[in-house]
Amino acid sequence: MSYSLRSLQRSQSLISYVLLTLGAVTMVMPILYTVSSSLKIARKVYVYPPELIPNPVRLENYIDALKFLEPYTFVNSALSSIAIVVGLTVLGLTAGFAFARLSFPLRDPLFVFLVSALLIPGHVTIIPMFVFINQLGWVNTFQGLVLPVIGGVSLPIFWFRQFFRTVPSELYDAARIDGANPGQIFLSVYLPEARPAIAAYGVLTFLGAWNLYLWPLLILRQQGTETVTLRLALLQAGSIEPQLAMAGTILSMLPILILFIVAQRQFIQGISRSGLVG
Amino acid sequence: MSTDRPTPATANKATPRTPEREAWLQLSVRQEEWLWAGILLTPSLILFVVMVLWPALVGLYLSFTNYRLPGVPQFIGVAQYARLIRDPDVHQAAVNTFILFAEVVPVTIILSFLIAALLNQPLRFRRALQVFYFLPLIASAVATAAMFRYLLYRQGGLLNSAISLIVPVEIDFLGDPNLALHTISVLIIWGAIPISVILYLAALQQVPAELYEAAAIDGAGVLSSFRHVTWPLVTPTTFMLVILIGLGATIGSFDLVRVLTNGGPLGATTTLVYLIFQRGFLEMNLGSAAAIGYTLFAGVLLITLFQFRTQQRWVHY
Repeated sequence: MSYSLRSLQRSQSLISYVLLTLGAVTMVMPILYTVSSSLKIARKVYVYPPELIPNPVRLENYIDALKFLEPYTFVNSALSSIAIVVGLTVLGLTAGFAFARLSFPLRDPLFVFLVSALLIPGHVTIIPMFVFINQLGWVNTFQGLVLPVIGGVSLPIFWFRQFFRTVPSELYDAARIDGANPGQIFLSVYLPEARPAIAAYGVLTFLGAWNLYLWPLLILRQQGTETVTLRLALLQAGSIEPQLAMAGTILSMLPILILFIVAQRQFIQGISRSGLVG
Repeated sequence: MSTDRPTPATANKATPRTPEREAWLQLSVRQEEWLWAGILLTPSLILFVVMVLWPALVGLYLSFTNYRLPGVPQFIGVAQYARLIRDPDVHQAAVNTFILFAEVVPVTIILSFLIAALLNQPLRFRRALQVFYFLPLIASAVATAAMFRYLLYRQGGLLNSAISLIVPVEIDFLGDPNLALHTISVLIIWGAIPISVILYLAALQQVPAELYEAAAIDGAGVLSSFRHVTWPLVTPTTFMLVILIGLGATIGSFDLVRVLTNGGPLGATTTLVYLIFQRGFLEMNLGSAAAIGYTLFAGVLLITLFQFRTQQRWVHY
């Protein structure tokens, strides 16, 4: 390698560092600013020039913010998000496997039909959905919150079908010749293979469920039933002090942050093996 | 006596019958697959029909009625759709939705691709830098709204304070009708970059490193190797992202708009999705809301079909 080429590469990686650092600062600044403001005392939030390092630090903001958000909203969000993740994952795995490996009449048209429903904006069906849930008497209930969301099976079916098609079909044929039925093959061969796909899908779906706003806004109208995200939006509309709203915002994101830290390895692995990229 | 035991003679006789027996066996194998397909699919199909298909059909019906609460739906044909054509609110919302789409999709794609391509180089602090780009993924639209609301605050917000160091102006990012929609665009882009970078990085990791090395030896600069080597290799990911971000920008804008601007100022940030909510749940005009919903659906469908039609021209699998 010639000297000039090496120096060219060096200057290129310097430019890369500069660009990437600028971008990273831009991406993370809103979160940093929020963390910083969440620790300030009331009269320091809007001082000029702005202080990035809060002085004095007031950790009690987080206790006050939790009182506003109410601990029960975290329980509601966790339970409903878990139910949504489990429901959609189980349905996506079973139906995705059937579409990927079994042959049955009308398989491909049915798959195209299910997946094309992804193009129906949820907001188009939300009015009749609300009327329907209201008729069932499910307003302010857990099932009223989660079941309509679990009905959105198109994405998980697509996701797990794409993944199962990357698993060699010889595995299926061999097990079939050995006399295993499709259900046994699903449980003993395909399900263990799907662990990274489940992790990636589960994390993204938990995120989506935790962050749901419009549907809970319509369906949860009673105090005691709200989710964290819904409550956070109500806080912003109300006249809560900014540093407390910031602390509440950080609190609402903490569970998701922890989930990502715990599951990051499987998450990244699952994304790259999902059959969606490359 | 020995009839049970196959003698060589009976075995020979049985041979012509084997295809028949196999055919019967195959049918049973196939039936078993049908049965299992039924078991595995039925729960999904029931929920889909009850929770997606049925509401979608009811919504379609409502769009041909004058349903208003309190009241009962009366069939009025395509009158709702005819009204939409002359409705200035719908025009404004359609234009706003299209502006969001046209700003968010290309900017997110280009930025995410550049970030991912830069991050894919053998840099020392790559992992640490990656974390910063992934971090905004944890923020919901509601949390994003909360963070930016104060960041963009007119007096004393971080951004305005920074700007006033250079020029003494006070920019009302969310209150100025000429700016508010673009501010929403920026927020959507900020939220969409993390997942796009993750998907691009996953795709790039499947590109053999020799390709870059070959390009580098050929004397290609970073940008030109991105343009001519890396970009064509990730077109399937780009295609998928165009569709995903397109849907996200047009539909997902609701939460931000609802929390930050309520469609204002003067309807400047009212998108079609927000208008559905406004008509349906604030004005209780369900027929009109349903008609707007189906118009939006038709638009999304047309754009997506167009993208699938034109993909052979630029997507290389």
